[in-house]
Amino acid sequence: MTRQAARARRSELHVVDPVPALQAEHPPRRCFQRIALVGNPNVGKSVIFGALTGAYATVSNYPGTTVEVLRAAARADASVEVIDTPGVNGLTPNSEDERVTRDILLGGVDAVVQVADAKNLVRALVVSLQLAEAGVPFVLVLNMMDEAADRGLAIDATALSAALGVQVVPTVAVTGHGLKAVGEALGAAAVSHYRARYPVAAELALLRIERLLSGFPVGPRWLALMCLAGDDTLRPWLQQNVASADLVAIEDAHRETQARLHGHVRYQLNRARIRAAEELSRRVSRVRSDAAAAPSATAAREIAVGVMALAACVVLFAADLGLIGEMASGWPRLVAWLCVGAAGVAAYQSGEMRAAVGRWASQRGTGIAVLGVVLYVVYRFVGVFAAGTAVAFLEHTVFGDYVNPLLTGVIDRAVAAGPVAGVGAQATRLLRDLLVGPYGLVSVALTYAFAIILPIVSAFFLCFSVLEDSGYLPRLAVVVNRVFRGMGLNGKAVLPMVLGLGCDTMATLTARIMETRKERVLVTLLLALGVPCSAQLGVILGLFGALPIWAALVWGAVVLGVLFAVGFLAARLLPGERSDLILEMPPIRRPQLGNIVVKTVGRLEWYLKEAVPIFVLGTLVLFALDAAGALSRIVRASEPAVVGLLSLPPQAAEAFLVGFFRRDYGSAGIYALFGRGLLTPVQAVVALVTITLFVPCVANFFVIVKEHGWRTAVAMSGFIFPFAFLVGGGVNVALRAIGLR
Amino acid sequence: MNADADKITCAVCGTRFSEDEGRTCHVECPLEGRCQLLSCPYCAHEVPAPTRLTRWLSRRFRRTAA
Repeated sequence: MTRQAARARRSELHVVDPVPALQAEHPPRRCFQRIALVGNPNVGKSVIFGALTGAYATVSNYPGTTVEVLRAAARADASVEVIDTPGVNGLTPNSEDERVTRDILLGGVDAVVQVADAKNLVRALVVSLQLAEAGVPFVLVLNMMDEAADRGLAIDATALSAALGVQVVPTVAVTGHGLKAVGEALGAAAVSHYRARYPVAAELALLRIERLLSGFPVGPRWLALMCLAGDDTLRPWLQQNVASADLVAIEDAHRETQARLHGHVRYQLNRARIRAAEELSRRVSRVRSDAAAAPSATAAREIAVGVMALAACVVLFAADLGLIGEMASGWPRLVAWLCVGAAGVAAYQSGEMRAAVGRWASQRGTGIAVLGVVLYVVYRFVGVFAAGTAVAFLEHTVFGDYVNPLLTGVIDRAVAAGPVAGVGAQATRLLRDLLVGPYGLVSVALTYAFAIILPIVSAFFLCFSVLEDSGYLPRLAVVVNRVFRGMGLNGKAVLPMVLGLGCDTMATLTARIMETRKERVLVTLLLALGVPCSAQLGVILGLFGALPIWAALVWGAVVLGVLFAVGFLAARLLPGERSDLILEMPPIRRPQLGNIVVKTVGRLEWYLKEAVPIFVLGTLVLFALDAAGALSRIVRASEPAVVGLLSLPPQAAEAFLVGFFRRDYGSAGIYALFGRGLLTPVQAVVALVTITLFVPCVANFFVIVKEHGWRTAVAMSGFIFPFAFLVGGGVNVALRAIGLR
Repeated sequence: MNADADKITCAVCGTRFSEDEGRTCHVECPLEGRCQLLSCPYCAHEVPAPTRLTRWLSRRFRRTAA
């Protein structure tokens, strides 16, 4: 049986005829002039638009925006205009797309075809509830029923239709199944009277506002909800259509509700709507019992592959720790890697296997195991392969044997030949030092950027692109959410923490997506304190490749322990509430080569454009300080902390100094010191812990100033700077006390 | 040029957004003009802004896939 035939057969099992709505309550409307297609992004609206209209569509930007809206005449009646609106997740706008869709509805449509992804019913019902509040007649098209069935999800369309009071049409748009019924159902589009219940304070305010907003083509409750949520994009419409005195009354109601709900009105309204959608979804859908029971043979195979991969990683990890002597090299290690590779191939080829990995990656216990496997593979690829092979070649062969000696030779010959025309001998020597001296632009800035960091971050970005394209990141957020919940960080606060692994500066900006000041300040502090940026994490992983495995474990335990302890204490000292994490889980996908290459190249381009100038600037500052004799004084002044407390060589102070410019630059300095044999493994771990917990880079500091003001930024830095050295000193004492060197 | 095809899909939350929407974070950032990253307007996940090189690569891969 072909795949298409199989899909059609599956869909026959679950696609039923359109379900008649409660006709008595909602008489059918048939005189349409404008019909709008509304739905979440990527639910198959375009296919249904094509089915309703035929081939000729007008594409135009919505006035004043870059958002495209498709319009065409209906196939059944050319006088009816069908509008394909941009994908939305709600009708209280959070984006330009949502604003355009809201405005189209606000302009008046005769009926709406809501297209839903049957696999994500809750997300669709959130929009349905808002259409109900808008008082717009609509039909609900449950698309992708075959994919829902594949996942064992059965939706009782009759019960859903009865609950909403509108027609519900199950379809499989890609095969055309059920599309004919959409047109037929549209003739009986009806207004839904299903309502979400909001907090009492909000309901009372809604009553007051609704009275002021009657007489418009859309429902007053929807308009009132937007006013209550503080939707600024509605203001121009209100100013045009509502009397000034009524506007003042609406503002008053909004302010009072804000005060009664502690400033979280929009969040509370969203929560109530999602709860109502979840409750309705629970009533009308179930996971098929045969689907739950079916996996016996498949599930056994999936579990076997998963256990094999996990066991292979555990064995390899134990071998890295030196617990299994025979595994240190040779064929047992090869077999273990083959097992990991076989699991990867199985996940790449089999949809069931990918679905299983997706489930494991977001569940409580198995999520940590999957994260462990991911971290281990990334560590081996970045730390051992990229840092061991690529860096050695670029640093020692390309730069060490060719670039630096060549440039040094050219400049030395120029100096020996006498002063360059118009430039004194001293200035010529200064020029030599500026390029290839101990703080030279080529010997330090470019060598660090291209020979040390570039190969490491290339490998790291490659891994990150694979994880990103596979759909693992939302699952990582869910797993990290559970881990961090204990420290008082919840929900959206976790996203910036995970995203901090990209760029701390941007993650600090994104902390504003959280509702409470407590979470905003807490996340900013933790980001500045101990969340490494992607480039720094890459360099740290690279150095771990050359260190014993206990070094990585100690670093991870200390940094996570500090984050947890500081977060736990700060959450209890700062007053405020927590918020929830609401994230849609995409399926685990097969990573596409094109996407991986484009994303990796894009990140590398970004990195080179942003980091290299700052490396040059940092090196120039070091050079200037050295030339002015100030660098040795700074190094001497920092000796009590760097040499006394951390037991590091005095040169480590220079790495900390450039760490002010960029943390990865400071980490690269430590990497170079270790490469030159100036650091023992214990010293390397102490230095890495200190630089990870070190003050935020310049860009991050100024973002903190901008977001929270000078006082908070200075207070955070004032706490972080000594704290990093104290923790580094503690690690130094503890490691030496147990006999490590 | 199809503006919808040029939209970027967030790898974390699936939101599709234009380059301009992704640049709203630049207004507040000290790196403003030089930063090549875009930020998802819904969840703030960052992606590198398309460049001439990445656009060329995308076209090549799209053609190969077709």
